[in-house]
Amino acid sequence: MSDLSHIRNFCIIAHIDHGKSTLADRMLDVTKSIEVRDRREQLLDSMDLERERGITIKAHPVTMKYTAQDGRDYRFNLIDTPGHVDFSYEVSRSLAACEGALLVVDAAQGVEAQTVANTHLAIEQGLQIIPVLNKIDLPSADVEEVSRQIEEILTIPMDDCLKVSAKTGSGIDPVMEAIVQQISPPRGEVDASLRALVFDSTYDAYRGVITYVRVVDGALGKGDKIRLLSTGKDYEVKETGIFTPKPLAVDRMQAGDVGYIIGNIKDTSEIKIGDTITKADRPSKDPLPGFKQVQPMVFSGIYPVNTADYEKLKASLDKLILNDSSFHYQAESSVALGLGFRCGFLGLLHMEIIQERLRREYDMDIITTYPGVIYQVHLTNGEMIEVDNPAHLPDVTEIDHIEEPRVNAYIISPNEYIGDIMQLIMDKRGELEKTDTIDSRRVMLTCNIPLNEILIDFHDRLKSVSRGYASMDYEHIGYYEDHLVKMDILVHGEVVDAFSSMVHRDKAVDRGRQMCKALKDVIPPQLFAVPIQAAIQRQIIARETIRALRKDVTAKCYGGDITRKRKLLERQKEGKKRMKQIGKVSIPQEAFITVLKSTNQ
Amino acid sequence: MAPGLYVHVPFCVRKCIYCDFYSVETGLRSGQPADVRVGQDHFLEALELEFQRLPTPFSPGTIFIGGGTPTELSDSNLERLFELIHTYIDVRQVSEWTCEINPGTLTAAKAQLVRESGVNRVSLGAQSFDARNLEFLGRIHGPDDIASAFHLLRDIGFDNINLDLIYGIPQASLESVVGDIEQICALDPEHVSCYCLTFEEGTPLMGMKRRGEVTETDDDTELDQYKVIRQTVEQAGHEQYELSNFSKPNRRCAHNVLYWTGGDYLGCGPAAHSHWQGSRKANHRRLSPWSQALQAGKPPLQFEERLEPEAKAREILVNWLRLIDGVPRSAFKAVTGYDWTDLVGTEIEELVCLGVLLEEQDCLRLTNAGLFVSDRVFAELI
Repeated sequence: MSDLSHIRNFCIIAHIDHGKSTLADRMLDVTKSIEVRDRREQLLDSMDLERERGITIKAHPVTMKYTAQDGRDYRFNLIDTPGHVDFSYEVSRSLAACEGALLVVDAAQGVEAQTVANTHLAIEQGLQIIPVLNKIDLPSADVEEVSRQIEEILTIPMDDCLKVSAKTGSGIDPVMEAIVQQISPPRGEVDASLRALVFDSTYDAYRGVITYVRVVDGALGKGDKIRLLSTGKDYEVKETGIFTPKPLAVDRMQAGDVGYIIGNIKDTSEIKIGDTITKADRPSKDPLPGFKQVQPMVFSGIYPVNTADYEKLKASLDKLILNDSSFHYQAESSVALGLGFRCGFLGLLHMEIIQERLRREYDMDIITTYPGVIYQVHLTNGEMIEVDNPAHLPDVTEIDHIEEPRVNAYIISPNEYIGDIMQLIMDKRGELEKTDTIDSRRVMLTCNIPLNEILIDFHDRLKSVSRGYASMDYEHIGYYEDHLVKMDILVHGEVVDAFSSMVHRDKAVDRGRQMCKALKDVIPPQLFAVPIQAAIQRQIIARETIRALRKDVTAKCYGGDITRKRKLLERQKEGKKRMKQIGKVSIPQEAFITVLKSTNQ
Repeated sequence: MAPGLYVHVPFCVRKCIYCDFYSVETGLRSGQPADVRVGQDHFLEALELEFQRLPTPFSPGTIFIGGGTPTELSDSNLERLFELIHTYIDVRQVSEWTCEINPGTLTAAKAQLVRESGVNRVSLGAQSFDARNLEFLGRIHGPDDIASAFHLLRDIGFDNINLDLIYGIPQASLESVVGDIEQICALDPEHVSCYCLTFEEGTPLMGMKRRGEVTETDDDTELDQYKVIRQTVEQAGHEQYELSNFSKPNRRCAHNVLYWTGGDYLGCGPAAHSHWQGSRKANHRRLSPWSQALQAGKPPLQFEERLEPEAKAREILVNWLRLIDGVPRSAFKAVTGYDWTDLVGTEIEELVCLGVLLEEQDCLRLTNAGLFVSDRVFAELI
């Protein structure tokens, strides 16, 4: 009954700074979707952090009306997707809402690592890919060379390659026409039972949860009773709408449409990305494919620097999670750091974003423990348990073996830094699988590397050895066994929980030395000598000693001013009370923070 | 135990860079004698008013005239000071009467006056025999002035003389400290006080440190200096009886021992402290509010505190532990009403285990190792 041939659903894939948002802005211009007064650069990235880092964290759909050269009006739904591997599941769901993708590559820079990972995802989803060379106005643009890279590395034919300058607006019209001609219209049955794909959600303090959907089959409107297939929970639709890019209420959405639903949904955690929405009175039995519960990949403890701020931190996390249900947390306590939270993140960038938002938007002074991953611990009794906190590792006698997640990392770098990068990969227990020449200047290294090893300082060191030129991205490839051990740090014979970490046996000695040294520098001398040791199953692998305090004596007695002396001593005593007691040793809170910071990089 | 009397004379020719005791710079050498005399007259008038407020009869066992620089008073004013003491204080019980003397302000006439007024112990602020150190510290005297002042005092009949020494002076070598202590021993005083240079808030020295002009001597160097001082002084026949004090037999400073053992003393003059019938008091630190209060017939107090009995007992315990002989159980109980085991028994047990305290024969004292870290030990007990 209903014709979907005028609808085109697509997304844009690009590396940071290759011009994804600028191209999107030009498309909004061409279709007159944005009033001139609302214009500001990179309109689709709405979070401050997104603007600053030039990355997209949340999906930003926009609906545009385009009149094509054939005289017909088309409806374009552009879904601007997150561009980082941390959000690869979200990306895959956004891609699933599309039939095609524009692959934007900077004609001066060429193919970058992120482009490779995201293009692989799009091809897996069966999307029609339209390559677009951007920034052709730059003197350094090399259309021929970059076209060759796309053909060779991404295996995408470049016969009719589109050349644009999103900045000046040249070449935009052919892109619009290519979208009409090359991307298939959505297939869907308007009369069938409702099936809508959830690809993102946000929380609005006044309106509650706003769910982003692509309607695959059927139709819905205000007043309909809808059901989430994964939970079986029913809600009433209060509003449906499209993004222009501002939300605009519409009476009805039907198969092929991209838009939003507002219902009586209180909590974003009720809405799971990839879930299928159907109608309560005429439910579909077939969920859309590809749904899965998102599991955090990276874990870290977050503690308030000032222990009195625990409640404030909890309130801040409660608010944050309203907008980001992929982030998990639960209360935990540490002898060294007091009360805090064990938090799970989709990846390293996600972790940084959450930490940064806590600091900036919620003004929290926080300390984070070493990031870690989930280990699959296979027990001698045949069971497998997942452990995200080294403190919870079972006794070694119960462990048969431990598996850790590994990733395929793509690193693209100018030739001259390859030696140092290969050294870095080896230092991080990586295995080089393949080297591809991209052009006369650059190569792409593909390596298999433990996720845990790239968590801490891999990216910084990569940037440092390549003078900022190398780019990296990665994809998860599963769990593999390795010789992993828990390393404890003992101060005066007592284990300090905040410093326990999982390490590879071959790395343990170096890491242990580094930790002991850092602690030696920050723990003040005590009345007795304090050994600081790194240990694996009580076997000492590194040691430093803080020698006993040698001198602390006030010779003066201030005339008869005994009160002053007493107050000085009382202050000293108070200072000690504020310190953490690890056994008999008094350690200032700042010492923990300093060590976690200095060895976290 | 008879109480003590302290009199603070708040005048100096020039402030030393490290000193945070209260005194007014008179700068005699740069002129303005008229103003200085007015200030001193003013001080003595108010001091008389404060003496009039002392309990009657007041019969101290020790008197200590300190400063500032008592000998910075003009001859006539110094004479007036002694007259006031004799007028208002019953000195018949006084067994030890000390006056501090700056080698740079001592004249034969002043020495004679001090001697004739009843003072039987003098404390000479030598600090160092190295001209560079003396200049750095802002002392007004040179190395030679120390010896001549010492001989003058000896010749006049003083048989109980203390010399003050400062160690831990930035840049000073161990050799220079050894030189200082040897020169002190060569003069053969009855008593030696050795103080480690302390960087106090509000002093010019602290300002220099903040601006990066000087660096504090590190703990290890200070400790080495302290050890060599102890050794040399003890070889010269002195016995260490307190963290920083050494004396020939029976020449301990009885007045200072009062401070450390919870004894009573009354302080007169600006910034002077008292400990009287369980409460600690401090006079106004500056000359004018102190004298204004007295002239208005009010006590010149800036501060008064009376601690809870237990806190008081702990305070006395840590001060008493400064004495090398330690604290006798019965005497401590007599003064405070407490046995230390009931106060801080657990802490004492731990400190004994760590080898910094020793409890034997009903006496509690710092061990040799405890001496060097006494503040940390005291912080556990306070």
